[in-house]
Amino acid sequence: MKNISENTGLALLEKLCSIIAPTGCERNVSRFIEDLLADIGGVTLSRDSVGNLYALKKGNGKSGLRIMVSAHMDEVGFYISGIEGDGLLSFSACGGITDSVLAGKAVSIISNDGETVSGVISAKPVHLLSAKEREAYTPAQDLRIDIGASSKEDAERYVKVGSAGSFDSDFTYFGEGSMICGRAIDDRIGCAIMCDLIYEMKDCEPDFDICFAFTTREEIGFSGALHAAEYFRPDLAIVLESTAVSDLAGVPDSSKVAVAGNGPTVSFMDRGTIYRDEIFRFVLETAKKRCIMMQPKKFVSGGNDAKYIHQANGGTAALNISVPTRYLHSASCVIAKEDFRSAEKLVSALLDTDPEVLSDLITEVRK
Amino acid sequence: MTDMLKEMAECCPVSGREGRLLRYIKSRLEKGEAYIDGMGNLAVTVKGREKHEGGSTVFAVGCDIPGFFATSVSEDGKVYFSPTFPVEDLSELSGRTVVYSGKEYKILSAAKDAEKTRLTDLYVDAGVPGASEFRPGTWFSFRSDIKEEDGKITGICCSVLSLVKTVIDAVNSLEPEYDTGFLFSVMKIQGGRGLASLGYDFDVGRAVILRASEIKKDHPTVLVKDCRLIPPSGLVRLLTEAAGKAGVPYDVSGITGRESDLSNAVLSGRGNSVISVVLPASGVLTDSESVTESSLRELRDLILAVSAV
Repeated sequence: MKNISENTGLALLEKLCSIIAPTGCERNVSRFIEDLLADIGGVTLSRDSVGNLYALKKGNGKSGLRIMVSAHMDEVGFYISGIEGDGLLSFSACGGITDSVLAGKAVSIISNDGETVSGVISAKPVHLLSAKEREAYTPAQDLRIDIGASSKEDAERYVKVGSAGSFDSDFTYFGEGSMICGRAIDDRIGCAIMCDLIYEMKDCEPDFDICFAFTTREEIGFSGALHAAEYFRPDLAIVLESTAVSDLAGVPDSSKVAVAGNGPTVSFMDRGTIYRDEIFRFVLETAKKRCIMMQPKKFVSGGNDAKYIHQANGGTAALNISVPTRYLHSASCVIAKEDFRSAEKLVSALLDTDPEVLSDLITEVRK
Repeated sequence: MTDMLKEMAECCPVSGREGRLLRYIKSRLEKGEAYIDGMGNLAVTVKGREKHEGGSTVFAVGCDIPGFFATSVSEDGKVYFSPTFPVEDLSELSGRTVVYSGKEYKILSAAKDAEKTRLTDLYVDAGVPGASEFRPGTWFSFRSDIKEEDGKITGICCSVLSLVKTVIDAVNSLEPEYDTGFLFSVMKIQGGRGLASLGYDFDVGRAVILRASEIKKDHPTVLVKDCRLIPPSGLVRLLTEAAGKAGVPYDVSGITGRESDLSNAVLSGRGNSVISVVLPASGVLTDSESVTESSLRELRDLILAVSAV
C-alpha cells in the first residue's frame, strides 16, 4: 500500500467489498486488512485459531479500561455441492439467502488456484416458465451455476466440490452520489470503519486499550466474536454491523427498522441481545451532544455478534451500531453515503469519551 | 404474601430490564453476600460453616416476566411494540391491558381479520399526539392483579414472582453447613441467557434451576429430562433422596420442549452439573395464572433440604 488516501473511507470500502469471502474464507479479507494495518502502524496485529484478526491499540495507561470494537469479515455466499455432467454446478447457500435473490445473478467462485472464476446462477427465461412456475421463486436446490464449462471435466479444471463463492456486482454510486450499491456491505462496512479509526488514531495514544477485532463466522451464527471476547476480555464491546432496513414501498411506518440516510442505528433489542438501557441511552446522548445523526432501531429483528459477546466471560457490556442497509444479503446492498460517515463519527465519539465517564457507565450497569 | 408480589410486579422486570427488581430483592435479603454480575444477575452466597470440596450447591431462579418494548411511536400517539416472549397467536394480545409507569393502556389491533394479525397491526393507544412518555426502547408489561384465595395465588406473572419470593424466603431461613449460592437471573425468557455467568459467579458443584411451568403435577417436580438437558443421574438421586429424607413431597417427570434452554447453565465457565425443578403452575400468561401456596412451601423446604446435603 503506497497511497494511504486510496485506502481509507469509501475507497477502502469499495476495495473491501470487492473481496469474495463467504464464511470460512475470511482469510481473503484478513490478509488485505493485515497488510493495510501493517502499513498504517501504531497497532499490534495478531490472529487466533478461528481466524479472527486483532489490532491492539495500546492505551497510555491512564485508565485500565478495555474496549473492544468488532466487525465480522465474512459475507453470505454459497458452497459448490456438486458438479453435473454438463458442467453446471449445484450449490448450497451459506448464511441467510432467500431464493428470491438468486436466479440470474452474476457470481464469483474462488477457483482451484485461489483466483476467481465468474459464473451466473441459471434461470429459466419467462418464456419457458409454466403458469405455475411463474407464481413462485425457483428454490435454490433447483438452480445451478453456469461457469461456461462444457462438461464435468471441464468445470473441474476451475472448481471443485467445496469451492466457495458469492455474488458478483460492481460498487456504484447513484442518487446524485448520495447512495452506494454494492455486494458484501454486510459487514465490510464495519471493517472499513475500524480501519479508518485505526488510521485516525495512528499518531495518538488513547487513554485505554482498544482492541479492534475483525471476526469470523457471523453469517452462519457460529461466532468468532465469542473467542474474540474471551481473548481480549473487554469491559465494553462495540459491535459494528449493517442492519436490514425496510424503508420500501408498501411497508408501514411501524415496520420500518430504520431509514437509510437518517444515520446509523443503535439497538435496544434484537433477536440475539437485549442491550442494557443505560448503555443504549448513553449512545443516544453522545450522538445528540456531538450532533451526530443516528436513529434508534425501530423494529426487533436480526441478530449479530453481540449475542455471543454479551454472554462471554460471565457477561460483557455490549452495544450495537449498524449502518442501515437496503436489500441486505443480496447482490445489491444499498446504503446512504452519509450513514457510513455518521457511523464513523459516532464510534469515534464513543472512543473519545472521558474514561471516567465510561467507567462510571460500566459501574452503573452493574449496580 | 401478595403485597410483596405486587411490589415486585411494579418493578416491571421484563427481560433485560430486571435491575429494579433485583435491587428490591437485594433489599429483602437478610443474609448472604450479594452482587450484580456481568450479565446483570444478582448473585448471592450464603456462607456455611465450611466450603464444600466439590463446589457449592447453587440455586438459580429467573426473575423476568413477559413484557414489551416500544419500537416506534406514531405522530398520532400509537405506540408499536415487540413482545419479549414467544407469542403463537398475536390476535390474543388484542384487548389485553398493559401498564407503563403506573398508567394502564389497552392493546388495540388494526387487523381486519383476527386470524391474520401481524405484529405491526397491534399498538397501544397512548391517546396523546407524539406520546412523549414513550420512546423506542421503553418497556412495559401486562397489568397484574395478584390475589391470594383458598390456598391459591392467582394473577398474571404470579408464578414467576412467587417463585422468586420463595427463594428469598429460603435464603433468609438458611443455616447451611456449606457455602450455598443463589442466582436471581435475568433473561430467563430469552433462552436463559443470564445463566451464562453461572460458572463465573460460583464454584459450582451442582446447580438447581428453579422455574415455574405449566405441568400437571401437585408438588415441586424434579425433571429427569428437560429441553436440551439430561441431568446426571447422581444429581437426580441427590435431590430425591434429600427431599425424601426431609419428608418433602415431590414429583418426578420428564418433559421436553422449547420452554427452557439450560445449555447456557451447563456450558458456563468450565461446565456444570445442572438439574431443573419445576413449580407446578396453571394458566400461565393468562389472568387466571395460579400456583398453590402448598407447592411454594414444599419448594422452599426442598431448597433447604438440598442445601443441607
